[in-house]
Amino acid sequence: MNVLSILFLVFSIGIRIVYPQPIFAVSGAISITALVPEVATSTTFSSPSGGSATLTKADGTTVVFHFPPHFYTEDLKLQANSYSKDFFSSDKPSSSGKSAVGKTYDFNLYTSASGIQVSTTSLAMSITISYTDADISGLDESSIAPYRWGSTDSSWQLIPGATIDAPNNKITFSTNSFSSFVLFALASQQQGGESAGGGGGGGIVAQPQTAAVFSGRAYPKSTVTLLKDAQIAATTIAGSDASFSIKLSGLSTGNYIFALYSKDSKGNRSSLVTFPASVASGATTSRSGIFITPTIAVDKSEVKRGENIAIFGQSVPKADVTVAISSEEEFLGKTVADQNGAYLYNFDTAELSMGQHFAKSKAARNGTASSFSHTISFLVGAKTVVSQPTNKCQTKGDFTNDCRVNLVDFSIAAYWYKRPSPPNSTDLNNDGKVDLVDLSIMTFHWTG
Amino acid sequence: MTNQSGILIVSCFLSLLSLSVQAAEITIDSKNKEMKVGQRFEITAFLDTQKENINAIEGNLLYPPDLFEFKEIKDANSIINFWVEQPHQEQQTGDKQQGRIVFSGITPGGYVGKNGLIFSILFEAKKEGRGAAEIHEARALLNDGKGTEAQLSLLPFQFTISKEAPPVTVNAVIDNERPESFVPEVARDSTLFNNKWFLVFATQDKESGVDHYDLKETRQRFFGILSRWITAESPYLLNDQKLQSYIFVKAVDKKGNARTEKISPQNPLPWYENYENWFVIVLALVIVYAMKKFLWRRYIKI
Repeated sequence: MNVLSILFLVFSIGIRIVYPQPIFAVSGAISITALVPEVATSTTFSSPSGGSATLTKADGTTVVFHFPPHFYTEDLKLQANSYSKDFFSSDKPSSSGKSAVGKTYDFNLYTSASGIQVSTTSLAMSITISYTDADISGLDESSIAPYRWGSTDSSWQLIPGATIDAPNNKITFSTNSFSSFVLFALASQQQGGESAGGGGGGGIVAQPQTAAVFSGRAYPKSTVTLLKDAQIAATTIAGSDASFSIKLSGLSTGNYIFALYSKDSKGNRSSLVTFPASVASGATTSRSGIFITPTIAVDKSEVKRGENIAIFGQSVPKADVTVAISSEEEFLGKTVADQNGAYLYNFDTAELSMGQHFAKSKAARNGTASSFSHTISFLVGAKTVVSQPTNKCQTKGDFTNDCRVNLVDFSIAAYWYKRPSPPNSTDLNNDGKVDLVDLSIMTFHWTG
Repeated sequence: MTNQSGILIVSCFLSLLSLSVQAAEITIDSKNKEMKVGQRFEITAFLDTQKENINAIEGNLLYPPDLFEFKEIKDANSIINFWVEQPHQEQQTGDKQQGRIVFSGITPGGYVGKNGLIFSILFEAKKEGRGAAEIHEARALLNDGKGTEAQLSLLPFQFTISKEAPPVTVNAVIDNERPESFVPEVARDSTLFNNKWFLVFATQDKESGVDHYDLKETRQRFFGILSRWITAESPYLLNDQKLQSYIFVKAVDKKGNARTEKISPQNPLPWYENYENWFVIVLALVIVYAMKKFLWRRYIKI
């Protein structure tokens, strides 16, 4: 071995330590094999607007990335590589009993300006990985779960809250940490009477899973978000018929408060629908027939008495929508949503008195109905003022202006709770103090 | 119509009216209403929303400290997702000294239900006597975006402590599960800590409840294992305002089970500024040099 080989070996070792993703594989000290990805793609995302990118793998399946707006403090470049199934088998072995599903991946982010690697973003990305039927041959599809390589403890870490779309061979999960990724699954339970008490048959006994499944209808192709005890646990995309299903595994035995909401095609958010649930060990708690409330908006903030005001939003395709307008007496109107779930109801304001009024809507389809949406206000007066397009991020309680009302905003409000001279932004009812009322208002707008 | 029959009609009308206007209830309950001196027992505060959607509550639970000795508060499985004021004991001074447990918290999305557990308190009966534990100055707010106050009725818990009372069993909590997974978040805001970076975190433990959080910031990926944990509360003002550190947050439940979550640095050190990379390179050089010497000696012998 000459000095050059030694230096090259040392350099390779150094590189592998500094950069977690493999660049070279060194076999002994002689043969050197370049481990290039099967497929690679690079996309730069603008932080203010977010965006999507797709990595099409060698077998034709895809990885789809959704970056939300304001995901980081600056623009980032995504470098996504896909490798063969056994690429990480020696460097990053799986836990016993788990097999990799399909390809393996490195997803890394770099600042577009200076190329510095970014391991964690401010907001979580949604990643959807598809796989083939052959990839899950001999595996239990319901046990597929995404794992991220933890560089500190050098092990694969389960990413909780993933959603499996079994009919379409897809799994969707959220993460704000980037490293190597793999889907792992357990082998299918063997058939033919090999049971735990079967006398040493050696069959694999599936562990009972403590989980919760939520299914129902939202809006076509909308993002449905599931909160577990007020924190985002999973998201999924509803089908074109607005149906969705979310499975949440890895739960403890105990009481949870689950909540769901969705956003329509215009970015308007539904009300939170909450479900207190008691989860039993080894059992799957199911809640089906969930009907997300319709979204609602009006085309005028003030309408001249006698003119029409358009009340519109989105719900389930072909749903029967009831619109309620409050006045001295309540007016109820009915309309039907189109094939995209969009509905429109024109209301003649001649019947309303001058002043502020409120509208809300609910939907029904195939014998099930939603609750009422949140209410939206408008003024009946002497002139007409068209509603201005609003920044959907302008939500009460979003103190950090990140389009979310979550633990960060709660922490700010809780800090100023009953303290003198709170900032105006935290005093949501403008009474000069931050108390439980302000927290209640903030809580109403919660997004997780 | 006589005066008596008139009063009867008015009474009936008022009774019917009170039945039709249902108010949410906070009740205090326990397995037994009679305790034995020296025994431990739990009382639990429950919320019955009477079909209202409640998203925030606050209040004080008062108890006679001459009869009860406060031991512990349990909030595992509470319907409250985030405490503004974690239930805690405060001493109230005055003519009549009373023990006071203060609490306030929120439930995003609201809670609708009959037996919503708020929290439990473990007491020990000190001496014989009769008394009551009751909720005072409580508010429950509707999930309506305005913070409208719900009608609320407060039902006290009457009890007797005697020498002859049957024994009360307090079930021991068996907890082998870690607290729930959680995602700490780094944030900053001009209204908090002078716009410096801070960390927020919260999780729940469904068996024994979260006892405390430990935290450490370290710029070293591997050698960070040697740095010390400190006990921290959310929101936590970060020491490393350059965000070059790995942050580890460990939630520990009351039985000692722990879950650690990690946040990678937003602005990681360049590799050449991280001394542990140099340590590994030097170590590799030493190993290679030793191997070379070893192989060279074998070659000479051959």
